[in-house]
Amino acid sequence: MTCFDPEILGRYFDGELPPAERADVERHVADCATCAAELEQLAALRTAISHTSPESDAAALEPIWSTVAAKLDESATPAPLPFAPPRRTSIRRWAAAASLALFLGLAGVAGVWITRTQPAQASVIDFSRLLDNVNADALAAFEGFLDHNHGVVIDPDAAHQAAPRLDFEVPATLPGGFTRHKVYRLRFGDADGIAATYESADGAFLATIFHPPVRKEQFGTHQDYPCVIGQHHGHAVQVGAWRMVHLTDPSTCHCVLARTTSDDAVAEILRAVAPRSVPGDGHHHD
Amino acid sequence: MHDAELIERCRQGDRRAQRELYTRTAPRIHRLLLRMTRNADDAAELTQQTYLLAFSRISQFHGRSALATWVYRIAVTEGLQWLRRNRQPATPRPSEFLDQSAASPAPDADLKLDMEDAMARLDPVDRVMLLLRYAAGEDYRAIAEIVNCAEGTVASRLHRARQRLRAIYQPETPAREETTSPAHRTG
Repeated sequence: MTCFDPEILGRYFDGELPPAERADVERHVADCATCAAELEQLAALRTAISHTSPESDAAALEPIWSTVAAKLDESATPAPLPFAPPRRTSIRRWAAAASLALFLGLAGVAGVWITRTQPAQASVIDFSRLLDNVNADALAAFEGFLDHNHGVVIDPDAAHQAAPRLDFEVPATLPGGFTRHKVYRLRFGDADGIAATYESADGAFLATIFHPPVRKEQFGTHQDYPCVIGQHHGHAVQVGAWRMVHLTDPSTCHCVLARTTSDDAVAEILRAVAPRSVPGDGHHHD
Repeated sequence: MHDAELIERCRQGDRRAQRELYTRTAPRIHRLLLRMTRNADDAAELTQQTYLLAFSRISQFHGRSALATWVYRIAVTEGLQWLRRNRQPATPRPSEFLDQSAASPAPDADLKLDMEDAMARLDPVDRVMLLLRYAAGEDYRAIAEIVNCAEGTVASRLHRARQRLRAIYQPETPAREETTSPAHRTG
């Protein structure tokens, strides 16, 4: 007797087989102890999975809505600061976020006073910790980079206003099936930056970072090498399966951090995030 | 209120419509996020984040799926990110667990885990596939829409997830290895 493939039995168990095939399986299982046992195992697995967590408590939903509504109200009110709501959203983090906003507001006022006679200039941008940790947990490594550079979530539509000196795009989707998740405003010294995170349907993570051309970018122990991306010259750092590619023009350095994909795929993504960048040698770092 | 009217009013920032969307969809979403995180605070935070994202992005909803599915997909994406940040460390000897063949002996029962720990150590996508099917009761078509994959691949992805779970899960009675062998019909 030839048993059914376990994947077919799985489809049968899940009620996803067409009627004719379903009848075939039923005839077979009636005389096959092995396949019958397999179906019993599937039933046991389903029961065990369905009991792995507490049931949702309807009473928990009302406070969640109250918080959502409060944040919607807050975002509908013109903010006194050019920053969007804080990235962290839990109720217990509100006090810390308010303190941060106050600090940033004071720092912003002080910054305007201090830099009134000085042109804005980005400080050294340190990618080393991000690159050190990207293989272990890319998302956590990127969140560390955001924290280090004062990242706050902003409305994607407000990205250009948040960094008016930069030339970039944060499209809702990117080639390769990536969908935008969040957009952040960053601070590099007294210069603004923008970052965006993307995710594909299978969970692949991709990030873009835009910052002013700077005197120096730090990559720690990782080797930065020149490369050609489409018609552009740029530079890249490879760390295990991850690659950070930089394309720099006079106003903006466009960085894409992604798992290694083809050069053509990277070129398409860069075209989407830097559509006005003119091909050239591109390097403006000292 | 029909979906079309609900969407339009949500786009305009109508709070009553937003509340209506929340009331219709939040129980299912909160339940899934509770299953993904196994923690009430984290599930609440992810639920909040799901709706803040949904309302900020609703102008991008083009009706290619049901509105509820679209919100559910945002929740799954948020949950997946949380799982990646909070994934349990791998089992002590993952290579012994994850590449079992029918010819290989079953893993040492002492090294197997209960369902809670086994699920926590699965790849986040595998875990979500299993939760959507066996905890939330979604059919293959809905799962394909939620995780944005072809409906035809849901069976194989579920099969793979079950294999990986069985390799590390210690049931009350010994499980037969779910593998393909030459003696099996493939349909």
